[in-house]
Amino acid sequence: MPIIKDGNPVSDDPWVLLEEDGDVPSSGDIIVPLELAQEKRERLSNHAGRLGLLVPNDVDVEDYADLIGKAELVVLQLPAFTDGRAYSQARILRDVLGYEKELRVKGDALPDQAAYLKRCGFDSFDIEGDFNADIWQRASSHMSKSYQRNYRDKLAHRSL
Amino acid sequence: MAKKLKGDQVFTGQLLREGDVVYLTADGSWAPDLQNACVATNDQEIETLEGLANEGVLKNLVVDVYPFVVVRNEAGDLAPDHIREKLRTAGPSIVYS
Amino acid sequence: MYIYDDFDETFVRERAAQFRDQVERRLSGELSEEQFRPLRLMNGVYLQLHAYMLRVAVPYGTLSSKQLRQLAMIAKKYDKGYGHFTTRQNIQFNWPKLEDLPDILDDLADVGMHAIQTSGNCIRNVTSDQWAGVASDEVIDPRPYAELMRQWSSLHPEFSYLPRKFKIAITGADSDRAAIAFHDIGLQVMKNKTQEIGFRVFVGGGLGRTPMVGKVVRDFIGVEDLLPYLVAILRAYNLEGRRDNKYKARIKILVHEKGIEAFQARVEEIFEGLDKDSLRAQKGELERIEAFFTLPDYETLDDKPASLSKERAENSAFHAWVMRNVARHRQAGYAIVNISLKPHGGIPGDATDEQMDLVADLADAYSHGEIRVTHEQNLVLAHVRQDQLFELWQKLEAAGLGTANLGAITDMITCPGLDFCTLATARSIPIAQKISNKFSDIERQNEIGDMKIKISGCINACGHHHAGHIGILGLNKKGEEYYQITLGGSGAEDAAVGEILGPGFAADDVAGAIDTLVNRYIQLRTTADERFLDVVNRVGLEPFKEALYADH
Repeated sequence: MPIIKDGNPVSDDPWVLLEEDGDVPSSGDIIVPLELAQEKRERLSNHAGRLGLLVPNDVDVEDYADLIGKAELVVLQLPAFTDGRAYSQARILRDVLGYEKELRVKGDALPDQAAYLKRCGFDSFDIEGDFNADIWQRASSHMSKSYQRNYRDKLAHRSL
Repeated sequence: MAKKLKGDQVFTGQLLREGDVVYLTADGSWAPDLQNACVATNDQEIETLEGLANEGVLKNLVVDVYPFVVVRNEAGDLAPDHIREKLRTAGPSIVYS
Repeated sequence: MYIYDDFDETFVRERAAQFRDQVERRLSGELSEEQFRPLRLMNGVYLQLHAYMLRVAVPYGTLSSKQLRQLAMIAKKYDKGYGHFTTRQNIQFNWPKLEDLPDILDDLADVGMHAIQTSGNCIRNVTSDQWAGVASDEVIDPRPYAELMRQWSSLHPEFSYLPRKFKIAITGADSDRAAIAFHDIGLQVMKNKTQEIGFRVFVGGGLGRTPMVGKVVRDFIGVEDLLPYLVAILRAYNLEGRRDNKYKARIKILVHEKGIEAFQARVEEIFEGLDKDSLRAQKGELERIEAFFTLPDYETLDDKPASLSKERAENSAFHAWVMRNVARHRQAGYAIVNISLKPHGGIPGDATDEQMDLVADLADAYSHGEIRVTHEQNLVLAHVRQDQLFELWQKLEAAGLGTANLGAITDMITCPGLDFCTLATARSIPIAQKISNKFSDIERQNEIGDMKIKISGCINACGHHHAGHIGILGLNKKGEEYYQITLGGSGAEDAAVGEILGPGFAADDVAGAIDTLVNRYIQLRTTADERFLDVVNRVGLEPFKEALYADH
């Protein structure tokens, strides 16, 4: 599936994901795995291009607040659509660390989960499977109301 | 999984729309009566039935397909060997509703 | 009780429409069964041994007569004329067709009901004390907080893909009728020294294969911090709960492995970092909810009217029912009526559509149109005039709903077991029926006194066997059902996990074994008031083991 943003596929996503043990190019928009980003911290500080971070779903994101603060993109992961850790990581990034740049989810998600993910603060989707704009649209827009406050709230929420 | 079971086997599943318990017949259709089930007696037959059963899944006719062991009772009818399958075939053992 | 406004109504309608779309996508083949399963589970739809099963949420066990009538209609139109009330105060239909489910959900939405989060790895229906608001021992009515949590937990964006299911129970009384110590989170509403209302928070209780009694994680959290504090607990669990093994994925395992102190420290750390204002109920919301839970306009009546004494004196069956099934009400002249869904030899928790219709009518006539469901699988009419008890009882009795066995040996919690459930290893209902028939004599039941027997058909413990004074667990050995007996469990304020007595029994021998245990108890007790559980706690298991296994 292509990268999805605002319900539409993005044809010219500039971001390149680096391998865990790969080389770091000197320019371009790169997504650096968290561990590599720590290793190459100095090298990356001179990087000509935008920096993204790929964050495993079993780390405490608060421990990496400084790296995250410098990122233009954070990618959180769903190794299985039933694994909901990234939802909490997203809320911590948005609500506790105050991260305001692009937050992307990568992995296994159903279109039906997109609405939940958006409400937790994700704004782009890099998920497996075929993209069907109609299904995506239908599945992610059923609920016009929520009982909880949401990130950059667009849904009508009431109490919570 | 199929091959680990000891004995003659039939394939069962539940109709996607209704949820009713059904059994795989020789022509690949699904019947509500165990007596219409096709019995596999060797590995090759089991494999053939498994292929037919999976077709039913792919066509979205049935879900949760699996094989179980059957025996012939005194009357010569097919009967499940395990308590779970006995109850599943016969329905709840109590008077309900 | 809480009445839906436009917001709630739209929410539930949209959710029903969403599920209709999901069912259509499944039937057309757009969704595979693997993709559909978690979606249907989030909406209470299981595939059971013989058919689909739909579990409908009854928030904290409260129903209006209109809602109960609609459940009766659904039972009749789409099912086989009955429903099964569960230990989570919900109702299950055992025979719906998948293709009918969208229509059923629309019918439920018509009366402000749904099946949201009655299964799946999310926050389940919040449960509470079935006598909330009217119990004589209640400190604070827990229902407004239960409703607040219902709303807060509904389609929660962060907590819908937890490691495992998550159950919250709340009580506001001294006697724990909601088994809060056996929930992922248990809340006791209370007042602190300065008379401020808040909650004692228990965490990590549960039954299943690893039964654990919940531990106090916070002695007191004020009302306005309830939701932020729940977020802190759920966030700690969502991030750190085990996902490698579904049998170790409940919060109780996390609390156990981390230790309560370390878990507590983690929760406090998260709690401190939260923007609490953004997580609190908005101003006025709790008050809006509370306004729905004011008590009905009771009349000024004599307590224990002379007519009642006369009716009791003249009719021993009525007297027995009042003794067992009628509880003290906070309002003079009123009573709490418990309707037993455990007729002798029947199926625990089942009610036919006619019975549901009748109870709805009786609720309208005698109890302000409100019905409660209990976690012990019975029903409650919470506002009955004492001078109308006799009339009400006669109508219940005529419909097979007058069994005078509440809290007695035949008032058993029983899971559906292998007669219905795909996970079960043995049948539960026939065992309950045999025990019920053996002890059907009401005088004998009264002689035995308070007794809680709880039966599960597998180690997942849906029948709460760990928490039974006598627990019965159905297992399978070489294709034969057999039953293990535990003693000394309790789901009340003295929460405890029962201990296994010894080797199990064949299905036909279980009722006889229970008889032996009961006879031994009657020999051992020092007063008629000493309950079975008290005796077990006093003398231990040995005398019971001797009685049961001496001949073997």
